[in-house]
Amino acid sequence: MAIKTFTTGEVLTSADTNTYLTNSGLVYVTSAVVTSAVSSVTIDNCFTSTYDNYLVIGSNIGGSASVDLYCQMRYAGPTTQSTSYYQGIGGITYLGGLSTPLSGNNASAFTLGNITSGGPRKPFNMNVFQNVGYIGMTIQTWDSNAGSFYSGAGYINTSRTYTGLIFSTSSGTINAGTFRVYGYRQA
Amino acid sequence: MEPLLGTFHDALTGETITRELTAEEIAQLPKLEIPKSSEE
Repeated sequence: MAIKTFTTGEVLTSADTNTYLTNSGLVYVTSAVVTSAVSSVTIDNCFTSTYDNYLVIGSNIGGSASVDLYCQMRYAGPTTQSTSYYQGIGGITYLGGLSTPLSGNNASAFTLGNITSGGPRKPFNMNVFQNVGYIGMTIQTWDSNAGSFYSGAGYINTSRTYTGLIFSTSSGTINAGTFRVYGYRQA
Repeated sequence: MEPLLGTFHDALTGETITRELTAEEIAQLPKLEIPKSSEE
């Protein structure tokens, strides 16, 4: 039941309370916290048939050096999808100039911009949507030094049922950060 | 060369493990030539 209007004097039952406390619009699915230096962070089985659309929040992401953060999707196996990534992410620097675009043409991953070992750590919000025939994403983020501010989108031109994702870097390690996955309630 | 470590979180079971990446997993990691994003 998506919506219920309670009336004055009506008894609020435990069943109703539990139902509506869990029926929020955005439903927490899972999270992964980086507590030591790793080359990759994998979250499997976070995408299911329950939701078509997801919000992935990355916060306080830091690395061992100045490196790019990558994201790939996973599917049953679990196996990492390592081809067919297309993306266009543009940015503007705080000085008003254009940042180097983060583009991808049949690439092996989405690239989400730079992380560093210092400065303001990297945040991002990434909407992931499972459409018929492909999976796509939209993202907003900044570089870890908060020097460039990005917005863009991308998709994978390979039809699969994707079930998870993996974050990694171009070199070095991910040393800190939290990745949370939420599902958009559909009804 | 030091082994590459990865964390694996399973949303279904809640289990999280950290282990060495297998050769197959390393081969699936990105190999991109996209210019590194600017910091300025």
